[in-house]
Amino acid sequence: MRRLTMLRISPLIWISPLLVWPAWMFVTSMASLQLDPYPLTLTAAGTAALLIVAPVCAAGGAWEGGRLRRAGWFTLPHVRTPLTVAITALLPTLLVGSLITFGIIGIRLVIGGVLLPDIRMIITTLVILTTHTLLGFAIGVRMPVVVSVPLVFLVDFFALGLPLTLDPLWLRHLTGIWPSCCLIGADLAPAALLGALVFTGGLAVTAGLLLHPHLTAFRLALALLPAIIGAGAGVQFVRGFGPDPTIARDPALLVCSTGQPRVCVWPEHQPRLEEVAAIAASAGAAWQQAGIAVPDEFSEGQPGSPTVRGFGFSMRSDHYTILNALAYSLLPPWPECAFSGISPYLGAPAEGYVLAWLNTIAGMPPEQLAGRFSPDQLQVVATVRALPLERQQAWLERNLVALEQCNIPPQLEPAL
Amino acid sequence: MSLWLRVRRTRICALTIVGVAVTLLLTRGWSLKLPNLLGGPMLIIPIALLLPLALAIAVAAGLTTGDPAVEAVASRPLPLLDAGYALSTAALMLVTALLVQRIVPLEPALAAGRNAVGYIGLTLIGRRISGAQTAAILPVAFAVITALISSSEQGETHLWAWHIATAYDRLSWGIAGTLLLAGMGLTLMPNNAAITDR
Repeated sequence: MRRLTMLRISPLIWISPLLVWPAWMFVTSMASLQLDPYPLTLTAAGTAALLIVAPVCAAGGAWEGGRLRRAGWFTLPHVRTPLTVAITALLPTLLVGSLITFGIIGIRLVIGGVLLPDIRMIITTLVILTTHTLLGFAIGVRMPVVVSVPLVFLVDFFALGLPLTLDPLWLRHLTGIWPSCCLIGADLAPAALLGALVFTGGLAVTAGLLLHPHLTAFRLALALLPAIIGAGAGVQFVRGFGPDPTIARDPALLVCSTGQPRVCVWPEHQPRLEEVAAIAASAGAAWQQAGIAVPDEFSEGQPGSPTVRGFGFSMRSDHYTILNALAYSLLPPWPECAFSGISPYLGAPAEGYVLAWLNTIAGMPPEQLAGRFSPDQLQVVATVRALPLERQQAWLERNLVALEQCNIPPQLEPAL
Repeated sequence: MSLWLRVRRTRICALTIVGVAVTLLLTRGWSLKLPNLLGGPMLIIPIALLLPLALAIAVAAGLTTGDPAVEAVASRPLPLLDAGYALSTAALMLVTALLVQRIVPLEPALAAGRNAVGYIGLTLIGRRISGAQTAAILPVAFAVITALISSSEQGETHLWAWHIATAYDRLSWGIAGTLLLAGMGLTLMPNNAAITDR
């Protein structure tokens, strides 16, 4: 068939303009509000388009399969294999689906200031799109078009959309669509990627086997086997993950300043490294003058030693947000009871007061403090600041201990 | 008559009604999170409201299985029988949905019954507009597209999203019933060239 004719008779070509807007809305509604030029996050956000594009492509595949079914192609002698014929017939559908999905991913990347996508996400997207379309085609070959097209669309729409709202949370990772993945300090867990690819691969093999010209009950059962094995293996890979299947990013990628204290940021934040290092140096000097132990290093990675404190910011963070993040990194980590909820975390209220005090010491202006802390907190901090330095340090020490422990109440009002 | 019933695959239709009822019971509380294309927060659509689309597909399939040439010269009033078939299927699903709601207090179950009425009506309309083979695409496309534009930014459900409205919304019942009547009317109209297209 001529290529132009193939494109002309493909229903996907005609409905593609109508598909762009919903696909874009799926992306903007479901993806996390990304403020950093991190290729993984931006690419992952764009893959949310698959939630609508893949079911439409699957239905398009069912339509193409239905055409061959009506023509009785499978009962006629043929030279080319069913899979070759399927891929040829599905090319326009796949082309439209890929153009819309990758177009949206591309726009997300350009808006985010990135040129190269995350290649793992691109491969997964292509595998998902091809598999769903091929599966739709295989069903279209076996069922009348009146049933296959709407049914394939509905089932696929449910299969991709429902796991996002169901418990267990790991179920969603089998779909291979992670719209809210990942913060700049996190990377996609290889196990999640493998789980999704194994599951989708199983479906692809099943779709290929369903194209056998003489499909008996035994062959049908045999064809379903890869999908079942793929699902079982996929579950083993993704079981145990929370809503985002992430691992810590490789700390070797961190870019560090040379001054004291040292500041290490992810490569995407490198344009602001000098600025952040300057904020850390001036705040560090002020804290040191107030008798607070300043760490050797502020790092965006996981803090590995007591002399390294973890902090985070985005490319749109202003000077004082970065200062606040550095101050926050000086607080002790939350104790276990803050997460488990078994025993009350009595020291929790101290956090805002101590943070306000640290920011005040570091030179945050009153209008910025007023936007971040309550009048009560600022009133107490003003009272503390009026005390001699030794008593301020004693106040800080008491409240840091309360923050570190579960059952020590804070002493927010300074002892007079 | 029994031959007509067999050709229209009434058994498959009955099985679909049972299947929808069982799925309604098994998937209580399951919902889809969809973006609101008109802006505003994400929409939570109970899948119970979309499940009756399976019945619309079954009815559409049943109406394609006859031999158009034979049916064109049938002595029985087949368009009337087809319209009656669609009506009784919708009624049966409605009664089943009422029963499900009696067994477990599940508000979307009743709404599912209402939606079956409207979706079958849309199938009959789609059959007339685009031909028998693509009849069920209209209700499916309608249900999904209007679900995506069902609410205003302030969260008010629009008139066209009658299938998303609560089961106690009288207007939504009126629209679903009107769609069924319109579909039946179109089925009864002469010149069925378009709908016998195979």
